Amino acid sequence: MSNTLQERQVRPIYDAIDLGQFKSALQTCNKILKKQPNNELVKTLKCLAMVRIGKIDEAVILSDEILAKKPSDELVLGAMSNVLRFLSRHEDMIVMYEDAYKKNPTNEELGAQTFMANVRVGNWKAAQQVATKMHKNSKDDRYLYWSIMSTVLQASDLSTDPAMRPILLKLALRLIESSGSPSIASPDRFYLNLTVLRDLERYEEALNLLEGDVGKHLCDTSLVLEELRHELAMTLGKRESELQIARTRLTERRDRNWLTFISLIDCTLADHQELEATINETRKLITSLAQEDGTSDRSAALALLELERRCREKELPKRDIPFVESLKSYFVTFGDKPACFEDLKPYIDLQGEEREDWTTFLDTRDLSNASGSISELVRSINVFKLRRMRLIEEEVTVEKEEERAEQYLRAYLAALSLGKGLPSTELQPADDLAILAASAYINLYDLSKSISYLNCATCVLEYASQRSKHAFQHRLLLIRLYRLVGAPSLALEHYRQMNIKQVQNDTLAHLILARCATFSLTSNGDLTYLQECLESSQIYSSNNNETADMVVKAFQFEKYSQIPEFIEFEDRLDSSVQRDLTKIEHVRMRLAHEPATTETIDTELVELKFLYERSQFHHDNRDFSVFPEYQPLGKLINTQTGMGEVSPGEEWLTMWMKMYIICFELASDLDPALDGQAILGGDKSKPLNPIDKDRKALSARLREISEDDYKTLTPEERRLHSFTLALVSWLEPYNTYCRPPPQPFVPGAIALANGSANAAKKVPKPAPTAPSEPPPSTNPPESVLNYFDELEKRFRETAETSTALPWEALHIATLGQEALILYNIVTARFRLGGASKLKKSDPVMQSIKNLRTKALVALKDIGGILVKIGETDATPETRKEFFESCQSITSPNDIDHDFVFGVAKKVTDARKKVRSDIGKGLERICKGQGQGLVLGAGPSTGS
Amino acid sequence: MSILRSFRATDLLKFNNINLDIWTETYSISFYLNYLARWPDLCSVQQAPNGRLMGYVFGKAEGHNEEWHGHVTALTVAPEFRRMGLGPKMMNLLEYVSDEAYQGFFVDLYVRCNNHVAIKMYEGLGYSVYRRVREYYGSLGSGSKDEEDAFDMRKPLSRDPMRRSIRANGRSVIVSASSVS
Ligand SMILES: CC(C)(COP(=O)(O)OP(=O)(O)OC[C@H]1O[C@@H](n2cnc3c(N)ncnc32)[C@H](O)[C@@H]1OP(=O)(O)O)[C@@H](O)C(=O)NCCC(=O)NCCS
Repeated sequence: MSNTLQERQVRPIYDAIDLGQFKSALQTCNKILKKQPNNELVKTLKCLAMVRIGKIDEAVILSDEILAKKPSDELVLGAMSNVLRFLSRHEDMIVMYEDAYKKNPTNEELGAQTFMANVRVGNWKAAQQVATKMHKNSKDDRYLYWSIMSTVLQASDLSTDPAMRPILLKLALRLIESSGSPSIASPDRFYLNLTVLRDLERYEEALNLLEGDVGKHLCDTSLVLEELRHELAMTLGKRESELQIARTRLTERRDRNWLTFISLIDCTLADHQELEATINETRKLITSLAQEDGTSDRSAALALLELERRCREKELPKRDIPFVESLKSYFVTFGDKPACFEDLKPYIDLQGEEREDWTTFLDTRDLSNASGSISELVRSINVFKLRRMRLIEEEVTVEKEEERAEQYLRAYLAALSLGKGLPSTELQPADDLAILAASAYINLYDLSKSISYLNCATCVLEYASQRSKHAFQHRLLLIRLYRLVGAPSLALEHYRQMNIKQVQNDTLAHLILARCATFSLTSNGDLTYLQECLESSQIYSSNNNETADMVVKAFQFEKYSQIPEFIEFEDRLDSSVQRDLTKIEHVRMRLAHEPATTETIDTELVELKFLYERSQFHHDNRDFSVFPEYQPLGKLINTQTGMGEVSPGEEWLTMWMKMYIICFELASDLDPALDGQAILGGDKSKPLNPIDKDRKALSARLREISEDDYKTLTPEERRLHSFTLALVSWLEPYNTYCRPPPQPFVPGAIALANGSANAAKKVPKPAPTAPSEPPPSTNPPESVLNYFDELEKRFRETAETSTALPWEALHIATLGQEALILYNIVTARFRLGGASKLKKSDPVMQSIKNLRTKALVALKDIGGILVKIGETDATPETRKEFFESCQSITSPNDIDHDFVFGVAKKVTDARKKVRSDIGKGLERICKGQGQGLVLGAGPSTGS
Repeated sequence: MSILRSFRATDLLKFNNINLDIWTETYSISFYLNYLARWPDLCSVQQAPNGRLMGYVFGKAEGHNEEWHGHVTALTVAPEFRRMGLGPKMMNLLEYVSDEAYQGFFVDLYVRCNNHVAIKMYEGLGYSVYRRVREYYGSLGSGSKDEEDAFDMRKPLSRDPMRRSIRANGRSVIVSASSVS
């Protein structure tokens, strides 16, 4: 067929695809294929259209057919690469391009595509080979550098044998030297050259390159190169010359980069011959810079403090001017900058006389004019913060803290006048005073356990948040407080207002998703949190797609310095703790929503095992540094406002993953010998080679409990944990007896979820080991027998205790619900449809039944109580009670009666809603989920 | 008192104190990485000694012939570090690199017409309005024209000694968003 004819034919299909009209594209394809069933391009476009409308199964079949013919037409390859990317079949993409390139070894475009396909999955060795071949054919140095970069990346890859590292690096260096043009012609090639030399510890050579004329010029406009130069010089102990460079930069070029000051100080203190003289000289230099700069730049003034601090650490002879005087003068000069507090924080850990001197200085600052001007206001805020930091135990009493809270609040309200005329897009200059007042109230709660302080904090923050609509710190604290006081819907509102997007989902989702199963109403069909989990997890698939593309792009533009950074970034998101925390919350909430079919159980089991094996490479990217921390005595507001003493992190996650895997294993007919490694094994795109070969078997590791992990659970979570473990070990022998022979693992749906179509094809299938006789009957352990009764008791106590926070009772209730769901899952095999090989009359079967009855009774009670408490929640009385607890902060002109009542109404309404909904959900689960596992829906149903 | 260094991909995991701000947009991963993959020397960050990020700038080089120039895509400083001259410092670096390494004729940027603080700073640095672009930005909620319209501001570099890249009456030159991007 002529090209133009072909083009005329397919143009409409491309257009339709570009416009997102996949159905119409599909129809056009089908029409053409009727006449030309072998038109490969149209077939491929059809495949692409099918992928896009979700006809995945058919698309997979068709794509296999196309691949089998080893396409080499560039249009077919292009469309096919889209299909394969969408299906995450990266390995197939590599093979496809490799084959095409082999047929056509002079086609550079195909070579580049093959190279990039390997780059996308981190196949550095293969990438290097392709690039080398391309370089041979074209003599283009760009491809040489591609191969060099790939070699360097292979050297640093975790899966590479450490012994290979130097060999690969030497190879890379030889390749660089083989190039016709020197690397220095481009900053990034040069950078690559230097890092190779550095990694080979050939520092001297690297530095020589940098200190040539061209090198110097490049350092001038490239911060990356300059950092590297300094690093090399310091490694080589070039103290003298670095000292000189730093001096020159600071004086002649007016460089005020803090790194330059640090370099100056480091080099100064490393002088072992004339230490004192050098220090004096440096001190003189910095002092004069500080004087010269005045208020225009604070680096020099701060560098002076840094120098003194370091000298003190080394116990060097004291300077004639006392340290505290330097602190004071820093404050006098820069006290009207909001950052002053953060600046001084590392330097104010003082003792004895110095402490007193500093305290007196702070106490004698005149704050009477705080609302006179913005400068004065910022100064007062800094004084307040600095004073708060140096409080000692005796000063942190309820009485004194109350006084302070009121003082901050008064100052806040007075200073609001300074921001009166500002447009609503601006932050209020007084914002931090409201944060301070709220901090004091939160600390008061911590001291007294009286919830009224939390109400005060809430009102102050709500008020401040209305005055300064775009200040995020008020919202952060409000989110935390609303969760504590059992008003999660209000927390969610503020979270949404913060407009968290994209990568922030990884770093900030913890605000709303930590232990969110506590508030989940999935039992009632409200899927808000499930949805939130799914939405915030999208960033991980974006990462998988986009970041690999950008690594490719960095190769195209030869920005080699960026590539290792991109790879690290990709890895940090890919193995993010938050990612799996979100996953676990999702599983927990999901099971309260849909009946656990064998298919759900199998899918989740395989995925959790996969995640568990991968979790040894976890990165914790959660950002807690956004919290405003102004609490005395080393307390953190982040901890004070968290649900539970420890915010769920990696350790907590390990506990939950293990617990769920162990429970699911009992219900699943999948081969328990199938460990995560087997699942991972098929997925070459995620090599996990560094897994220690003689690690214990998965089942043994799952049953190990580390003290550190355990400590991160709340007391109630610990109880659930012991309950499930005791339950499982009691039932395990009977389960082994009853379960059908292990089923092999069929990837299907699960593989798609993990982004790999060919995961785990070969799974070892051990011989069935079911004993022929039922094991002797035993009674369930006490801890299992009494669990639900005691749960109810604890729930009642907590619900009645006035010092318990409202989230705590909800926590007990929802964990009880979770215990029932897990119980249903674990015992499904025995209870359902005669699938059990145990006789109905077997005492074990009786115990299983009785236990369930006990659980249902307790949970129905709890549900009923919650509904009842809910009814009394949003009444004039509760609002009045809230109002009265806030009396100390109410005043007619600002946080007035109506305002406080408004907050009271919102809080009590929200609390009522969540309590009664969770209560109703519990009742629903007790009735509905009485079915437990629905058998017969999954592919691996026992026969 | 700040560390001025090149922006690294992993800084995206630490920039919340800067980005939780109404004037600062949070873009997709590929948006940022695309800049880093192409113009890493025009993307820098300021970091406090304690590791906290204080502000960053993302820029690129683009245009043909006398239109070849440096462009500021995002410049932002966390609220607690504002008014200490960090913004101007990052701008200086970007201008220096646009001049020295890219030999551009000018540097330009877009700014919301109601972002008075930023406009004042840019003017102080020698930028002037080249034209006003209608409905360049999404709404911030107030519904005013100024918030959705952008000023395109420019400053000539050493390669444009005759200052041909700017004009005096820029504020009254109004174009539509579709004509600029
Ligand atoms: C614009 C911005 C980058 C300036 O950075 P900066 O480091 O604070 O810059 P400066 O220290 O030079 O301050 C600039 C000037 O802004 C003015 N200014 C800053 N904050 C102000 C405030 N809250 N109220 C009044 N004026 C203010 C002052 O005139 C200040 O100069 P001065 O203190 O010498 O009088 C910063 O305000 C910011 O990040 N804003 C949000 C993001 C943004 O708008 N980016 C620009 C988009 S194109």
